Amino acid sequence: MTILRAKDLTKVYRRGSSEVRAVDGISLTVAAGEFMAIMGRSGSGKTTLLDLLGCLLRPTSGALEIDGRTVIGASDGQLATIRRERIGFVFQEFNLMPTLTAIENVMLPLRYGPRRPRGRTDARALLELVGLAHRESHRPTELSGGEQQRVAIARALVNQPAVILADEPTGELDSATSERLMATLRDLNRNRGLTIIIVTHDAAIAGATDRVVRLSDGRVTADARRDDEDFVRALGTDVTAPALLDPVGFR
Amino acid sequence: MSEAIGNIWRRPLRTALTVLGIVIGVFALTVMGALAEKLNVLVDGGDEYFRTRIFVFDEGAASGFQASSRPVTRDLVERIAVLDGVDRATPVLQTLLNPEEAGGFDLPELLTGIEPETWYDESVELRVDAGRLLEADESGTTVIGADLAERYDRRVGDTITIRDRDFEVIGVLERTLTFPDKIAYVPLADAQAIYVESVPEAFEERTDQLATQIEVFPEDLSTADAVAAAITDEIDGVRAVTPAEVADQIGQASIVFNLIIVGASVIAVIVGGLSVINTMVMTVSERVREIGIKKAVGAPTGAILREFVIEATLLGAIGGVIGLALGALLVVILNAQTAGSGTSVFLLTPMLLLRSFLFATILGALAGIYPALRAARLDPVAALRST
Repeated sequence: MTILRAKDLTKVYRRGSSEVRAVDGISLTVAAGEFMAIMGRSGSGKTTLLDLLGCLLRPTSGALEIDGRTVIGASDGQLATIRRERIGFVFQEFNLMPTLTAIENVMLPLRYGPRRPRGRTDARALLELVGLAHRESHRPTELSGGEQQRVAIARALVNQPAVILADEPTGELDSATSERLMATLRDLNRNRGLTIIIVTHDAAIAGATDRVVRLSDGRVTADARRDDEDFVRALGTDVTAPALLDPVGFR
Repeated sequence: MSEAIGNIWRRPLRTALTVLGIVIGVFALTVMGALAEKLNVLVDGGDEYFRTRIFVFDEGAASGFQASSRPVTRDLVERIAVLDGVDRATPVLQTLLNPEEAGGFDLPELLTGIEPETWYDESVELRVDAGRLLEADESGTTVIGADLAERYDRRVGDTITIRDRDFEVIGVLERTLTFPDKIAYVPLADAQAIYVESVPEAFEERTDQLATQIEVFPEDLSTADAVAAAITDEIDGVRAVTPAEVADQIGQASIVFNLIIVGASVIAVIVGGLSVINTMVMTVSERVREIGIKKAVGAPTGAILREFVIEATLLGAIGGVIGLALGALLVVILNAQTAGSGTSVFLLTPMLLLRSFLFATILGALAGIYPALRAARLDPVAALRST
């Protein structure tokens, strides 16, 4: 089952008289239950693509379908609903609300949807799932980076989204914590069939997923699965390519 | 809601300063309002009290209600009583209860000499709380208003000394919240005897003729203006003032004070409103990232808008309650201080309190709209990636 389908997705930014094609005609299909990474250097368009897939941003042209719903032409309110119901975000900087406790952060998306009498119970179960049941009444400042990111994952899961979009989720974590977090995401994908898309520039992170889509200058330059021959190449070109050959990117 | 409460405590100093802005406004509004309420009651009551009578003064009398007015003579009564449309006319002698105590904000305390047999009727709405009203052919007796009873601590049967003369209190009036509260009604002859001591000797031989005004009761109130005009025409040397003119005179004061209230409200709007707008704009720019997060997890525009408006409303309401409390406190203290003299300058009504509170709350809400709109309209991507 296809959970996400993008066709010729394009985002053009105008800066004065010049145009930046941050995402330049990307077509991408993601099936339910995939665990994949979108790779690229800074300026390759990967963050813009994530924003487009996450319905935070409207494409300049192209088509996008998430979980069977056409996103193009949706109003702001409809986009908000799609984000709330179909998409779970995990950000590099965790992005928890500083004034709310862990469990309140997990419940934040519920505030904007229909009433859910079992919301707190569900949120508690999710904190337990990410191993933070004992921290539910702590505020973000009282939690470590890894713990904060787990709270963010629990928050992303609370509305049972069709897809989790994670933007450099380990970017602010040390390597041991990163590994544990990736293991958690991996488990969620394996055991719960969750579709997860991770945006990263880190080959180690991307290498832990099952599929790597590489971007450069807003275009897909490689799209390989774990059992494909060119999986390692898709992961590694960036690491081995001489810096001079790599185009100067735009953000 | 609980988040809004939490949020306004994130910056206690700023919240305090913002609230202070509203407090000042609402405080001014409450105190001024209490002043105006009191005045409006006086004015309304005054209208009521004077509504049924035409006052005839000597032409040279200053403004009619001054104790220093030049007297008229009671022979006017017979001349006026025969005019068309006049039901009856009665001489009244009104002077200050304590001449050395003149002035001040509140109504003056008055000594009013009347002829009970011609003055009282159902149109003069005076009721005794205790005792009885004056009757014909008595002397050395007085009916006093509620404020006087309180100030001098006199009850029916007590003796009260007025201008060096002893009077027996035979009645205490029900509180009217206007003129009669501060009036001691005495038989005309007693008032004349007191009055004559303070006026030129020329009048002494005609003591029983003395009056400061003739009060004329028209047969039909709707013809009061015509009757007054006829009196002024027919009789030389007098000026007849209609109930409407009296009401006008009193109303002037009320307009001034109502303008002060409007002024206070405008200041409250400017000070309080601007401080809320300023604070909320700062708050929004500080929380751009949080707004982005909320949008990312699916908060619709309206929800963000609502959250900030609630926060601003809360600021307004808190300022309202504190301003109200301080204002009420000041009013109570000032009233207590002047209570000894039987005077209260302020009147706190539940309506005034409710109005001040609602004013502050609505002000907060309105002032919150613009900053909230800014927040709600933020672009989610820009908001999320802001530092």
